[in-house]
Amino acid sequence: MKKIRFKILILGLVAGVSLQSCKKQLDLPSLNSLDASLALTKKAGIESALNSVYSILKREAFYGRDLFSVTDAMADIAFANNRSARLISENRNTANITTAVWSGAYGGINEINLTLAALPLVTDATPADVTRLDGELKFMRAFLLFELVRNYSYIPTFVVPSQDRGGVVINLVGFNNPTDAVAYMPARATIADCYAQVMSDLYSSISQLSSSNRGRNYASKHAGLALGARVNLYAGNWAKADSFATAAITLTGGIGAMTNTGNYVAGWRNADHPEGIFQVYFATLAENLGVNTSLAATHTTLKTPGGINNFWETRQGQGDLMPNAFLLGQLGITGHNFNSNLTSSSTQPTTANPAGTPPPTLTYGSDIRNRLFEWGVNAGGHYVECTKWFGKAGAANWDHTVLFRWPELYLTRAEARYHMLNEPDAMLDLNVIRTARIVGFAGPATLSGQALLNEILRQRMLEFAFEGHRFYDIKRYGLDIVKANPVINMPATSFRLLPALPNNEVVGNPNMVQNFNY
Amino acid sequence: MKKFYLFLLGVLCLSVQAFAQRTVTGTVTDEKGQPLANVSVLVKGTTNGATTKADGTYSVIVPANGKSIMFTSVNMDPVEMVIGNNAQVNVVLKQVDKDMEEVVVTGYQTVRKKDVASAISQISAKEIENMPVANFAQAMQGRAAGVIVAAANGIPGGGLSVIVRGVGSINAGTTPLYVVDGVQLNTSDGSINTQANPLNFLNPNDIESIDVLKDAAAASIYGARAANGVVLVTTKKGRNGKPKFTFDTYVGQSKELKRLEVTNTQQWFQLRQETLINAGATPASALSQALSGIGLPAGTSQGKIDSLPTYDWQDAAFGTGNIFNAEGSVQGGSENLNYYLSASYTKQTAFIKPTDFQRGAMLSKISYKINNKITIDNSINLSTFSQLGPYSTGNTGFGNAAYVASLMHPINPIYNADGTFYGLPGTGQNMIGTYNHNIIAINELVKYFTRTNQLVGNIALTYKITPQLTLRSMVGMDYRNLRDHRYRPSTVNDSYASGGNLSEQVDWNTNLITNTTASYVKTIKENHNINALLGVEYRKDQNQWFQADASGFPSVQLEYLSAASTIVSASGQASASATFSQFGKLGYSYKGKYIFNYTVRRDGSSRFGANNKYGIFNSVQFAWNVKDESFLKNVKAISGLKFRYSYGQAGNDQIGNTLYAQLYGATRLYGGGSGIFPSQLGNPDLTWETRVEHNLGMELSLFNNRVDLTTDVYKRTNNDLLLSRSLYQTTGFSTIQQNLGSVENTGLEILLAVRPFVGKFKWESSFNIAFQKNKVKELYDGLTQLPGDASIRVGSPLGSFFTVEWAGVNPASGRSMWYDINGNLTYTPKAADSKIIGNIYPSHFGGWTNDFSYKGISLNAFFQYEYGRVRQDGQQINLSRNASTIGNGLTYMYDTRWQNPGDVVPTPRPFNGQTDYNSVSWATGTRYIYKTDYVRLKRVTLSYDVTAPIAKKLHLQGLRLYVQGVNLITYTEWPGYDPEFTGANTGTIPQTKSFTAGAQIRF
Repeated sequence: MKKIRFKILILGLVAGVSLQSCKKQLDLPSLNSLDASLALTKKAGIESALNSVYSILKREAFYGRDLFSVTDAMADIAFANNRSARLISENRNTANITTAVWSGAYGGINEINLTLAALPLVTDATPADVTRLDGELKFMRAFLLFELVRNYSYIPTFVVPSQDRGGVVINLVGFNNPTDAVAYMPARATIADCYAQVMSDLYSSISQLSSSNRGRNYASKHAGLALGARVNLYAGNWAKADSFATAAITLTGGIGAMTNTGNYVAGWRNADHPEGIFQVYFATLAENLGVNTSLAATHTTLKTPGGINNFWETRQGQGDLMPNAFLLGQLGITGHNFNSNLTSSSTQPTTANPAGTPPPTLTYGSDIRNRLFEWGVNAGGHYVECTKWFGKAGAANWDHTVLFRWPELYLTRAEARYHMLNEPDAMLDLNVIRTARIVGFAGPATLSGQALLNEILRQRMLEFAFEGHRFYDIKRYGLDIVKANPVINMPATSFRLLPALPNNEVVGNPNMVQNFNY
Repeated sequence: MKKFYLFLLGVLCLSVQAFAQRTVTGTVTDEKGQPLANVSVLVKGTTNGATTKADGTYSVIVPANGKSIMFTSVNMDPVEMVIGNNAQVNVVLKQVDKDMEEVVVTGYQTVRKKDVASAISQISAKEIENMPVANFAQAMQGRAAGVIVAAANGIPGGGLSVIVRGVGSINAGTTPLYVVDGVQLNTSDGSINTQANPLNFLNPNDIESIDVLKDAAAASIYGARAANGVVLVTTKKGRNGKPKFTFDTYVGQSKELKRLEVTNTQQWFQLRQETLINAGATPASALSQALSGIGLPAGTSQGKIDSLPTYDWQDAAFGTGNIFNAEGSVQGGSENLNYYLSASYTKQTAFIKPTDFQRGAMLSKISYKINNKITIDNSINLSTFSQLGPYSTGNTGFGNAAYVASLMHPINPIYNADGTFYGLPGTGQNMIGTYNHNIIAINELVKYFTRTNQLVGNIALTYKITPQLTLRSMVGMDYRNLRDHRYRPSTVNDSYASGGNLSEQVDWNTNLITNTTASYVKTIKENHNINALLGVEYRKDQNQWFQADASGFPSVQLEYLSAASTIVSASGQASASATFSQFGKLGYSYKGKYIFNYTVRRDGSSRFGANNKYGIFNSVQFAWNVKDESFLKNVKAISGLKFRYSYGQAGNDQIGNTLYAQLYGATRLYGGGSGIFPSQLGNPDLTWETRVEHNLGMELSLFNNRVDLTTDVYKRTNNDLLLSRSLYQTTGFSTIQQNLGSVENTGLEILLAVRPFVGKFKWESSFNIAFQKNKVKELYDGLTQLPGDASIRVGSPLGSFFTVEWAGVNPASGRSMWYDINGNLTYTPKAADSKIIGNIYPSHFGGWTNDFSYKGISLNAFFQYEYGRVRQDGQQINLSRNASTIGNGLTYMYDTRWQNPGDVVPTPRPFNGQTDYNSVSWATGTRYIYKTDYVRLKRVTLSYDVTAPIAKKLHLQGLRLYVQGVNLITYTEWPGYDPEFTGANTGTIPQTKSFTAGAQIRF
């Protein structure tokens, strides 16, 4: 009996001692995330925070898909074929088609603001590191704010004053505590203020980024100049657009170069486009957006170029967004023998007809850019599909997204010079592009006036088909959106040109104004 | 040494008193005349004693002063017999009176049912015995008033939701706390393949009883984990006596409850042309487009079209499920040791291949009484269960058979003439239409395998320091290791391009609990009973998982990581939480008539902010056993009457482990480097939701317990809801966790049990019903609706549908119409036209069970019902497209579609792309919201117990044979497969009906 009592006493003691230490046991910090106070104290933390900002561009709402495919579905060059019921409303230009960059862009801006504040306090970074990091962060802040203002507001070159509700929110201070975040009631800045803020960050960025760079996957001086050209083109600052484009074209140690009619197609088959100045890089296979919403899946059913040679080939992507008949005509592709739904049919091989009946053979004109369009496989009929994305990085649905290519510099400068009444130099730049793209281009008659502008915009349309430029070109000039299928005739004054701000951003904040008619 | 002295003393006494003493012998039997062994026999007032042998006989020496003998045994009423001059004293011991014995487990304690002062539902082993379900929670369905049990789907061993007295939380969990033999379970499911419900570990037939602590007062002793109610499971234990063996087995089959009637190829083709014409195509163009859509050339003759085949994919996908169960147990014990050991194997396959569930489980419970004061209890439940998962547990994946079987375009063949599968990728055969995966082939080719190994066990030491004071220490463990192997070979569409995909995942849960309690029970002056409890408890939960994904396999036979050409990604995380608690109870009762209990618990939790880490939860309970009052004692009609009132507080801590902290997440990647980002703002004030509840109960028994009525009414408020407060996204964050707002639940629960016949023919019937009302009382900043979720509105219940009302079809145009907020018809309703439509939780529900028995034959019929609930049916939405895409749909939609102006019909005109031009999306509004109201014959069992003489001939204690049917009859207007589900009901495996036959042998 005594012995057992003693044993129990021991047990009790052990239990008591272990319970004493229980209080400490309640302190269990996250094992998967960093305490915020420790995150940005070292250079490695700042570099990782910068990676996070770049990674935002990979999202579906950004350059994973939407800023290309949604905007082109809204423009006048594409047809959404309802194969997987995607991009239908976008193609019909219904109200409130959003390129939903709002939360991602402001998330990124907040990250940048917090990181910029922490950067000077980092002890293990060299001054050169700090300058470069500051330059890349400012480039990204400029770029994200530019995406916000060009999507949610009018573009300065075409504003309907009675419907203008201003630019977007400019926020340069990071949030790191709940009290400030709950109390925040921002207002929209003017469109002009937004563009000024973009340029202010961009000047700072360009001055800090040296000509040596980390390649086209990251912000660089070259990318900054290219973005500057684009921003000033949108803002209608023609002289600045001209000078930024010129600086980018003449930059020593720039990234990439033009291709020509001989290597244009090969350039597009490369994982890294040789014309690319800045691209969104999907470093690993796991980062691709998959079989439903990657760029390749959105635009083509094909697995490899020329897949139609076996026209009963297995379907790879969804193939939701197709060039419409208007764009195919402009590209010089004929012989497709479409029915009214823009498809052609084939029949399966049978014993009576061992080869089956493939869709009709396409005829291609001299514009080399049309070689990136070909028959897809039969999935509710065949469509002519765009093959700019093909899983080129090494596996299905895995492609990097090029945001700035060399031709934009020439076309931007041509357009700027046209507006500066320097038509001869505008012609020169225009012909740089046409020579590089049209086999045997001989430089036809000089264009001038509206015809010249129209040709510049047409070349932009052909050059950047499905690369997310056309809708903004329409928006910049206030052009009507006219489509034959689906039947759309949307004047630029329609409220549908702009999306609504996310409704939660307006609810409960008297300072915030919703876009017109939402 | 002590024993030696005693012996010496005995010898001395013996020699002195030898002349006066004598020997008394006798036999002890039970009421049936069976001899009782191990009965303690003691001559009162002396130390002379003995125990009975196996034949019930004893022999004891009675000194001269010995007047009477005490007979005591476990589970028997003690008997004192006067010896007189008898040399032989035979005695019959009676089983302890059942009513007296009936106890209720209340958490850290059991109390007599009579002393319970809060709302507790008890489910006995008999009610759930041999039910062919994988886990006990599912078997609880309809048994406990006020407890909604809803299976998520028909996956054997799949997920389910158990909601006690309505939902009180918006963002925090609603799962009750499960405690098995004192071990609090971790109920998170880490499988990426299927639903591996952690409650599956326990063979339901090993359960002795389930007690559901429903009101906050009852649950309050579990503090911050108790706000959603507590389910206490007690497993069987050994009883004194010879070893008793049981062997139990059943086999059976399950079938689908329903198939959906879908269009044939010709009907579909007709619809397809109409959709194109309605969307603007000319009839000629519509014909060629419709042909093109199914891969036929323009100009195909009508005769060819008329002879196109129709394949029934539902028929191919829906097979028969199999059910098999076999188990054995042995139990017994002597005065110092008792044991219960069981082993079981069960297998259930779903009616859609290859989904299944297999479990092997062992339960070992041993209790050893070291001496009169110290007892050691050990319980180990080891189980392993494996599941073949479905291609998807419920989504719109094209390879998901449950989703696609009804949607597949009927022109697609299933097999080729040579018996191989049609339409596999790379064969040159392409399936027609949106749903272009051969689901029957995929079910055969993919391998989604999940294995869960689980140990739930505890060791407890009980030390009775004095008869009044007991100390008990317990260490328990709930350890679970889950492994997923998810292989899609290159022969299926989704992995054709990648050359096969593999995901391997391992998930560990280690859940440690230890507590020590001291309880003190004392009766003062016969009338005052005091019952006090003090305890400390510590629990730590740890989870860790890692996963690797790979692709590119040289052969479909090679399905492990080393054979892969590419490791696509690898990931893993770990997290932990802990609580440290003190708790106490003070109970007082006067003559068993007036009962008062007070409980308190202080919890510290790692999940909450530095400013609010500790919380205190109190409860008070009163009960009045009116029957014991003198004025009722002699009223024969009333055999029992009790009133009780309780008030209690409980907390809900079911949120993420580190939501209070300001953190940088590390889950992003760019350029081969990892990215860190501010993932949450943190909130040092974060704390639990607090539930406070008033409960008023009445228990009435009439006519010698022939009628039992239990009613409870409650009002319960959940305050400090853990709410994701919306932030303006311009801050870079979209939400922050704060304690804001409150939700109120009120309800009435009635349990009525009657025993109309108690003679040879017995009929027992028990009916329960619960009425529930829920409403949001308050949000924050005076908001009347929650930003980000407009369906959460002050004054309306949680789980509401908030949408626009569909107004049917315009007879003139065939287009869908909706009502705007003023009740006018419109094609383009706006968000502002939305209103509260219905609720996903039932307003009243319950069960009704009937037991009939005559001699050895008994029949049990159990009905279960739910009313006042609506759900959207995702499968139905996708089947309503009427050929607007290239996939099949319901014949009903074909039959009732609008065709000509003037048609008054429920289905709008078919329209390519489904949404009419200048209209809101076709799926908007209430058209696809249906009532799920149902009554179902959940279970019916017919059984036969062989009579005792026959059993004896067979050398058995007993033999029961039975047949059982589950879900045999359902009355419902729900249009889909089955009204019992949670979630969107898109592509889930529905519930089934099953038949089983079984035998139970006792020997």
